[in-house]
Amino acid sequence: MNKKLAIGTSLLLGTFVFNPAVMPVAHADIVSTHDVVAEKQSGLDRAQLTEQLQRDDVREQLVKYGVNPDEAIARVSAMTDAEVLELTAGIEELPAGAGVSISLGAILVIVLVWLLVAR
Amino acid sequence: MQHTDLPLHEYQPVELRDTPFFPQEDYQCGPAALATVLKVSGVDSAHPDTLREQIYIPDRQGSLQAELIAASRRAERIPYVLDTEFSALLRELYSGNPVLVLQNLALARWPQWHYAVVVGFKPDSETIILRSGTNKREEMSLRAFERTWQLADYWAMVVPPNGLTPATAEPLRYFAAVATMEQQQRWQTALAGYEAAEQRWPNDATSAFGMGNIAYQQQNYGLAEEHYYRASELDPQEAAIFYNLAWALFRQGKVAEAQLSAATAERLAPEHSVYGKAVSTLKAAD
Repeated sequence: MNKKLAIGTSLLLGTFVFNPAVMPVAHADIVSTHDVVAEKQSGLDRAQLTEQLQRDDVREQLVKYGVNPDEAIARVSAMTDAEVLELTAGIEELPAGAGVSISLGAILVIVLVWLLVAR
Repeated sequence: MQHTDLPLHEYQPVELRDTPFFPQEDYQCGPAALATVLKVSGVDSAHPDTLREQIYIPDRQGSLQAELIAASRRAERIPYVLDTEFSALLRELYSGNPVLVLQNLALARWPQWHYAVVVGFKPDSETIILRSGTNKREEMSLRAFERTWQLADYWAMVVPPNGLTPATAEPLRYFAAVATMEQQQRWQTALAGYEAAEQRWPNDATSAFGMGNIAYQQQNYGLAEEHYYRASELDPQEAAIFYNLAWALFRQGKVAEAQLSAATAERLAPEHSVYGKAVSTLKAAD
């Protein structure tokens, strides 16, 4: 029980001290589960490795779009390489679920205007 | 349209009535929908107000899919993106997982992106039941729902409670999801994921391999050795297992055994950039 507690505490501390996704494995000697699984999947995933530079780029984009800088670090750390790559394409390009804020009526008006004017 | 191919008469009505509801505030459907599924997966503290900080992008007035996934990991849960099939969504529903979906409520050219949670399905009236926006129980016809969902490329995810695999989980993709948790040093959640996977696919060596890697990274080399041995019995042809086993033995000072295991790794994958040089790598570390 004590040992469990000790492991739990050290894990908790570890989470705060280290930036998980970008920290190299403490022992770079073994091969990671992630690499082995990626090798078994199609070659696609193997190519999806990011450099620190790309993570920094996404983090900066998030800050530019109004996210608090510390929070931006935590967000990027919880993403995989593939997800980071997806975001490097540009935050403006991706679907951002926002919700039903514009009324249906407003959408209809927009559509009508678009049909009449933009075409 | 996919729903027209569903064998409706074979389905029973289902509704996950206990699914909580967080009415969304302006533009906050992401935090509201994510809080809903996290709560069901046992994250008691899940709330849109705290999740907003983690997934809302002020200048986009919305949340990205990758961020919903990342925030689930930060809540110590293993998110799983579903196959883009209506039948997959329904299977998750029947196994008790509310399904978070992305919808486009407007036009392909003029998108109005929205997150909602599918909680029910009525085959007789051909409707889907959602927790959506400010609507606690929205019924949408299958046709209307699929249209909005199709415009969002049928994107859907589930966040099962730790210790359970999604009903539609496919081994490799699930292991990739768990390995990500391991990579982020979320050890306990990753371990729960491998344990669940081992129950579901007892003949797949990846679970034991992953558990071994977790033990190794926690410097618990004896335990790592046990897991790697178990993995090697399940998949005696996998060089990676013998390679890591060699290291676990080496760290315990069992140098001769370690060399043997390294030699096995090398024999199994002589052309591989890592395993093919296992013996000399290990010698260099000695």
